[in-house]
Amino acid sequence: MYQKKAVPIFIQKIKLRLAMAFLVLSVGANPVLAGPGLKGSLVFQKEHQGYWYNGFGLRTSHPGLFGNRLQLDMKYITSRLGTGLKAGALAQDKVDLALGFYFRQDKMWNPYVNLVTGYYHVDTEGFDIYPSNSSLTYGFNFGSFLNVFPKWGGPFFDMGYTQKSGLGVTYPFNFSMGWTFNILPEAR
Amino acid sequence: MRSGSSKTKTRALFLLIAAPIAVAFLFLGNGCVITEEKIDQATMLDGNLIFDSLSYLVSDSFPNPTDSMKNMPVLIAAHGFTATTYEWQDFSKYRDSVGGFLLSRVLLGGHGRSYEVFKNSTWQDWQAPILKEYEKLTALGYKNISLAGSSTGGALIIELMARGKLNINPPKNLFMIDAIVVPGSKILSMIDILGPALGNSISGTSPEEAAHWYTNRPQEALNELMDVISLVRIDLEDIVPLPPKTELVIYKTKGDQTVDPISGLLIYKGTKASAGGSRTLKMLDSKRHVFTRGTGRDNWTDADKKLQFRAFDEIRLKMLGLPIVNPL
Repeated sequence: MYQKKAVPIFIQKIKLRLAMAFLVLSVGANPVLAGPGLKGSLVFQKEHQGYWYNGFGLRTSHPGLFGNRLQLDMKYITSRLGTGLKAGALAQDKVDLALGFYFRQDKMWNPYVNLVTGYYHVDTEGFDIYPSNSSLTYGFNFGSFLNVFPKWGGPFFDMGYTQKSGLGVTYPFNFSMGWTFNILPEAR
Repeated sequence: MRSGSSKTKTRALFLLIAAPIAVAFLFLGNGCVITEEKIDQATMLDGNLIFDSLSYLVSDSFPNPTDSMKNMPVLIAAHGFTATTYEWQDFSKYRDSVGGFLLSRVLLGGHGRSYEVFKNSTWQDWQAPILKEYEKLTALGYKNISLAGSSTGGALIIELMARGKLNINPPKNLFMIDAIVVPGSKILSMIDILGPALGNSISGTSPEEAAHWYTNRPQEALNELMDVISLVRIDLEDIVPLPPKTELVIYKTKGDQTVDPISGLLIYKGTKASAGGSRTLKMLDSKRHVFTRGTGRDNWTDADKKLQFRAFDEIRLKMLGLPIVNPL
């Protein structure tokens, strides 16, 4: 006789987490507000010849500023969630603040350019390597946001050049990708 | 038909993307190629001069070692990128004055010959003579082998270790002298993308250096350098075990502009001592790259000499198994 198998605990947990994620993302289905828009993003960055950095970001815009085209983006990415997980790699953190221009708001393919400034830190684990383990950074990047699900968000890809005073395993040329999702939809 | 504003937007987008790339090419471009006329064929390694150092190999000098020689410490010393065995000249003089061990100075493949040979060589070519000398000495019965690598020589030795090539006759000691894992110049990481635009890189050299180092650094060779150091960095991220009982000492100067000082920490963190072995990181207060080489250098100060001598003493005493009175 057929007996229904018990659902393993880990599957139940995954289901629960998916349901929670759905609830969080469904904020995007809220009515359009007249105020500033807010987007969240998961960011995966690879420095050319260097480490993987992963983290998250927040991006805001306002209909009064070039119709949401001018956007302010802040992100925290770290090798602690990337290559730094390997035993022989270093923990390196980046906090970036970007001022970006999005050329094709309301279109699915939305190219952008960003001017980026930020703060960078390398953990030398108590060894006296540098006079300072932190550096200010500046640079630019350009890429595309694909607004494939206008209510929910979509993926982005960009490449950039960041100048910093070369601390740790860090190189200037980087590629980023990730997923941007709506928290407060942009007002039209 | 496209509207005027749409065209303007497209042009603006194009400019915003293309301008930074154009500027990068402008600044990084071929402004640093040494011309043929500037190469003195008679006195520069980039010219017709050939630096022959085959007689510096212990395996060639003492192919039939006595039993006592077989137990004598032998140091295989590998030099850095563009250099020759001349980089270990000071240490050779030191050895001649104090004795007690043998020194085998290896000339890396593609080095000390001609610009064309260098340009067409791979990092595997550079590395091959180190392994060859180690295997030859092992086959001849030498039991007390140590290795030292300065700059790129250090990275090549780590790569050998990562592949387990040094396990057949585990070295007693490994000495890293400003070994490279991360370069000081970060733009080097883009050599595979901007290679032709970067062209050659020229190192500032004195006449003595021009006779023993390549002045031109072709982008092909820089690309090979970046390949091997990236590979070594990834090996170290996954932890490279030291051969049994091997003791690793990493010397790294803090003010080095050629090799990022973080290289020292990456080697320390990325290696694991086997039973009976050890690893030590010594960060040194100096701005010199390869602080063990003084000959042919400008402004070689008393402090530089002192540091060099202390390091030489430490290496010798460690190989002889004697206590180090005044460690760095």
